[in-house]
Amino acid sequence: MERAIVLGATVIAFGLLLGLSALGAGIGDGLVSSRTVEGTARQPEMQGRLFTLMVIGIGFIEALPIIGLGLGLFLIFANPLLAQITGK
Amino acid sequence: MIALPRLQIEVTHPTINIAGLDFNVDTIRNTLIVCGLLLVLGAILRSQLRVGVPTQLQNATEAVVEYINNLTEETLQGRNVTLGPLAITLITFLLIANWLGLVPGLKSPTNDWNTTLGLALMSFVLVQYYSIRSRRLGGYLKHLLLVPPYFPLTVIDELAKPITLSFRLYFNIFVGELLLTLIIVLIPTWISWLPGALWTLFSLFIGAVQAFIFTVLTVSYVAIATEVEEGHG
Repeated sequence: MERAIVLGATVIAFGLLLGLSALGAGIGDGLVSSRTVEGTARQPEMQGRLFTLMVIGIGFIEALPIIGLGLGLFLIFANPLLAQITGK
Repeated sequence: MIALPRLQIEVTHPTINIAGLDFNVDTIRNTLIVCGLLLVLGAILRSQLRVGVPTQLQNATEAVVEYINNLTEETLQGRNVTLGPLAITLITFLLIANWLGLVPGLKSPTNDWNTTLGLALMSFVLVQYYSIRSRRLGGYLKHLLLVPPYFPLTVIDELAKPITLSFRLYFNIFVGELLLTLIIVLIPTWISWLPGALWTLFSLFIGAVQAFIFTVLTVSYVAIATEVEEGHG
């Protein structure tokens, strides 16, 4: 019984972790890209530098959901909470 | 009830113990592979150099070197610091290291926190060194202790830089490879090539972006540290 509760809670936590972090990163990526498009439309000659800045920004933003995904996979595959219950 | 296959996914590194220290054998091997590849690449480039009409390879290399050099110069404008060679070394090493994990049977050396933390500590020492050099010891201490209540915050800020730098790179590469394994294990074989190919393409992008970010951040941390403040500099 405790095992089932822990397993279910872990999966729910994984879903929340992944969904919320993807939501935030999606909003962030959208903002960065839209501003880049706007900037390029105003000053097409700046496209090269804007693209570099956009890629740096997206790299920062994408790191967060990927860190979340890493922690989530750790929860699923090497469940430390389940180990507490089973005492192993 | 669906029976999930018992998943055995290898996330730990095989280690050997020398003089009480654990060494990750696969990481060391893969780092040496990357170094070997870079040496071979350098030797090929060296043999292709022409003073007259440059070859295509030489043109491409010069464009990349010039781009990164210009980026570094722009970031470090007006400071007595030269980081171009370091930036080019970092970005080529990290690019090949990040992409090595996409070759079947090989792993990235950067999927180990030790590698990325080592590189981040190098950048940390570099930042502190240039900070002391540009501000002198008195100025450096003044910068740390300028407003006493903020002293712990400044120290945490300085210490958090290498940690976030190393975690960003490590998790991106580690999760990329783990997901590639998971796709192969969890998705039926007849369709697993599709998400596999898509994720591999995305990993190529991520690897390049993370190598670039690591380099740019190292350079800009030095740029921030060597900034000479107007009033009390």
